[in-house]
Amino acid sequence: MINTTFIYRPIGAMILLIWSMGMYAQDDTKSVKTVQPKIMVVPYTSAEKSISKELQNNDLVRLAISKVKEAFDRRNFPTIDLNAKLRLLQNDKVMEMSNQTSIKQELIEISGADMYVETEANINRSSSGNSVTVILSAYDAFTGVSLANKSGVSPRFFTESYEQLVDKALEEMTDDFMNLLQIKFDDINANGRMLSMNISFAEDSEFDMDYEFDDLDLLSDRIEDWFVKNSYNEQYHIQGVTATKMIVDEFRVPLKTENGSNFRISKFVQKFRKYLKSLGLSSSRDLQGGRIFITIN
Amino acid sequence: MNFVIPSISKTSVLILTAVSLILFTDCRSSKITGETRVIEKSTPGTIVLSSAGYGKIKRTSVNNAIENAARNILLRGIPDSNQSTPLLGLGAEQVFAKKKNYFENFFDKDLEKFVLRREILSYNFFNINTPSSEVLVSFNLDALRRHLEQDGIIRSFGI
Repeated sequence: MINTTFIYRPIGAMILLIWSMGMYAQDDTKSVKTVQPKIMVVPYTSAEKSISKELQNNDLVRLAISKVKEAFDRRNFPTIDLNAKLRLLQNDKVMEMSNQTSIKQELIEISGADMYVETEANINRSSSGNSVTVILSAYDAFTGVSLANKSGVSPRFFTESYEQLVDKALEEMTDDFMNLLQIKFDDINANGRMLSMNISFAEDSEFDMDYEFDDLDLLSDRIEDWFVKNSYNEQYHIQGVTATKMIVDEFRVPLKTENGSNFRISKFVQKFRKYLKSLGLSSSRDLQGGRIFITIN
Repeated sequence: MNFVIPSISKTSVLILTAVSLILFTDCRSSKITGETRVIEKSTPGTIVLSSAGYGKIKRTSVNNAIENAARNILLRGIPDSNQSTPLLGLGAEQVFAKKKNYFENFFDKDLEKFVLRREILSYNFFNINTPSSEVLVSFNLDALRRHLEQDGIIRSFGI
């Protein structure tokens, strides 16, 4: 009889080794789930129109919003319910404000939406039949950057049932709108998410952006140098600099930190404030989602 | 120089020819073209296309048309349809090249599962460089997208 122990033992050990390597590999690939942006679908309104009135009075827009939300649901991506938010805010300051554009901005800020989709539906009447034009536009709530746009026109019919025409127009465009949005998401995944930063000075501050350091660097130069080092792949855009203000309308940060956890904007702000401190400047901050306000004292 | 030519019997030649003919005519046609267009507006989650197929025999040509339609959805997107961008995303060609074996297997075994409707609009073989069939094919886009998501080929909707 051949003693098979010599053959089986090393094989067993190898299987055990490979299995344990597999377990280790599985643990290694286990990653923190990326925090997804919150999206709200809102009606398009001109400056003088109110969102809640537009929702109450315009059946076409209500239907269009519902269809767009359905498209998000089909991709297993929940959206913030505008009606629920409006009801919550009914007696709040949002309803008391006179400027409707501010109301929309305020609503978006209070809802915590990172992105919003504006939905517009217009009726086109003609002797050859009626049709409906639907326009969908997605924006980053904090930077105002346009993310995806799609417009569609329903076929012309001799009908006054505009709801069906809206349905028809949206049927043909929601899938592609979602695809365009996904392309933007892929870009964010590859190139980082967008933040905006507004740096200003307290009224009694001794400093301003033109404050000169010993090496003749201006404060604005030092801040920009920090942006070069700390933006993702050096991607940032300064909208403008004056003596009292610097507006950075787009600043890219990674989605994940080097150790794989979600990037925290508060930590990023903390790092920036520490840098200002190292320059001898104390500061305070306000955070609204991806919008950062820094006040140098 | 003396070349040694091995003697091959007539029977062997005949068998080899027959096997070659079977292999080269009855397998999947490898002709890849962009001859796919949308022919009717689709409901969300589906797409109805007309696609050209190549191949000497009807079955090969029809299969080639369906595979070409799927390739165009995955890699290029179909203009004026509800999938105007590549289903595999902006880096579609790289994803496809990286997962070559996966897609070979997908076209062989899985693609059929996502075909909702097929209709041979025409079939007429002229030569191998001319499409021999035109096939109407409808895909379940939502299911196809979910399948690719589950297999880790594309990411789920979102960041």
